[in-house]
Amino acid sequence: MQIDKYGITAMLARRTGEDLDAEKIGSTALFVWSDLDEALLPIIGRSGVAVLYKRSLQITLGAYPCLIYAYDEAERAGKAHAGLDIALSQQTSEHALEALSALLIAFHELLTYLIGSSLSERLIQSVWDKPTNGDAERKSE
Amino acid sequence: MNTAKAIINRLATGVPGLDDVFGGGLPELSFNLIAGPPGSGKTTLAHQLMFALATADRPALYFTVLGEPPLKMLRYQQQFNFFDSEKLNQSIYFINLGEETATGDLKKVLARMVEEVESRGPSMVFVDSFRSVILASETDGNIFLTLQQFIQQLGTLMTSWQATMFLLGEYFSENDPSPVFTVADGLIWLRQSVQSNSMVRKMEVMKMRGQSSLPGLHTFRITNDGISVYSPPPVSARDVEMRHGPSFTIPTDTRMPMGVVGLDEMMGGGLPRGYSLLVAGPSGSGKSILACAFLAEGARLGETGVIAAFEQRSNLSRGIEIATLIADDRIGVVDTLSPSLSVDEISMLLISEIRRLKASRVVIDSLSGFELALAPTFRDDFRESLSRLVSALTGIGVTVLMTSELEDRYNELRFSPYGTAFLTDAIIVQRYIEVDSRLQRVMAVVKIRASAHSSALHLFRIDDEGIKIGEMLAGYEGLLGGRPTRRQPLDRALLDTSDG
Repeated sequence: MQIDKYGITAMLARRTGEDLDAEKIGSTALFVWSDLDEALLPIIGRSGVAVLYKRSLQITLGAYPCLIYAYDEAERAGKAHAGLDIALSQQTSEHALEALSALLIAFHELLTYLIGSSLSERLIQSVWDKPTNGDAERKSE
Repeated sequence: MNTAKAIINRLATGVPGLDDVFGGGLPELSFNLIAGPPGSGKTTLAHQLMFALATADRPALYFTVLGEPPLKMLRYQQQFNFFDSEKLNQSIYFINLGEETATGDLKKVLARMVEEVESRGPSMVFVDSFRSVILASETDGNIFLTLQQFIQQLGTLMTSWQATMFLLGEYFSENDPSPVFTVADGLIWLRQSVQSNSMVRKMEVMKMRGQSSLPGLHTFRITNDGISVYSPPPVSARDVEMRHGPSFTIPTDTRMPMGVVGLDEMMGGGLPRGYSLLVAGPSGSGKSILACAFLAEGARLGETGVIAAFEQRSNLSRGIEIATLIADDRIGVVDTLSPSLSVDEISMLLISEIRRLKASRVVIDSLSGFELALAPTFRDDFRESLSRLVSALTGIGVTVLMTSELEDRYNELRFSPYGTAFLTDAIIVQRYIEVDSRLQRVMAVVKIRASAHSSALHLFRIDDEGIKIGEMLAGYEGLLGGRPTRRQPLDRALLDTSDG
């Protein structure tokens, strides 16, 4: 289990609510990635974010093979995040939460490795600090 | 007639030396092109300008296109000390235009830029690299918007939005009829000149509308602090004040003691302040010791000094007194160990150190070492550059002592291997002569401009306390031929009879 230095687990707990439900975790995953896209797309572009996401999936696959569906689906559909919600919703809620948490930590650590902790936090810490799914959830309704 | 003119504010770029090259700073609202081959420093220059100038009230937009991936750019640029992560998304916004550019439709690229400019209201806009925009527009045959129209609209947009614009691009050729050249108010060319194993970075401001930039190629260096540009040194106190602010006052109507007993008398009362002095002599004759005595004497009188030492020796080898003065920051040392130096770089370092210490005495030891430390590309112009350096230093009122290695040739009388004798106001020459099968040292004052001085050749010796000048070497002739002949018995007390 990776160490969560960024408050990702707490953020997921806030966003998913008390009733753990794998399907809710799957949809929350898409909201979180939508926020990450919003933070990073203007700066590094769609292809930049997509490559980081794919590499994070690859890093996490060893511990959470259930994410292979998301990996393959993103490849097949040519669309980042495709299949992530489905992959998570097919797990137990605890396992889905762990897998998503590990994926997001891997993403943050990859970004930190590339551009340093100061800049990474500057760019995406606001996503981890977000209290709820907020606008993204409302937009999807 | 209405004589009220538009006021062009000039922005201080935060890049050392660049404002001087621009002719007083960067004109606000100008449309600039930073061009040069890959690796020439375009992105670094742009980032350094941006981090220096961007504030929350005057934000900057940095559009990245299809060149260097933004992640890698951020990864490398943050290594520079000027990179301040705190400014990101506060006063500096990076925007990736990769998708719009990939369509090859300049209209889409322009629309996105307009959207971002209107939403952020930036004071500065950068596009890196603009070549990608040009290439993208060429591949798809833009039927909606030509490159010329694109640039024209971009220029108009930025001026109306009161933004200063920078386009970065590589592979531009000066003969390229690119429409960018026509629209641009400023053309800044970065180059890399390679000769032998040495690479020197050079900058040329080919155009800067509305002001008089410094013509020619100016060397620059990239360090952890970013870019420093070395412009030719100002040649008068007025120019120095214009560039660096008010100067300090150095008295000009007095003579400076040299710190060697007897030498001041030979020089008619010391070296006039603000003069340049060349001390020429063969290896080991005592030039550096004389230079150190000059600095130490200044310190005894409460003056500060600066030394640019090109001989590869430690501070301690100059003697404990000089080492202590350096440690106490009463003598500044200019770093001469960087590879591929230019005279302009040394000039800037010297002037900066002189101003920091309010120094009145400067030593350059030696011109031979100085020339060797220069990048090969600058050696051909050494005399001209040295002349500018000496004028610049004496122009600000400091007194300069330079040493020059001089091979002993007994069939000719030379004072400098560089023909630099004419550059200086005063010359002291040291020579070896043979008397009674021993090497003896003699010294003479050859020239002190507009001043009487002794023309006598004096024996001198060097001991633990420094240079000891003896009486005039009378009774001999042919001294400068190296083997004098005696006309009458010599006072042996003046000769150095030690075997050491």
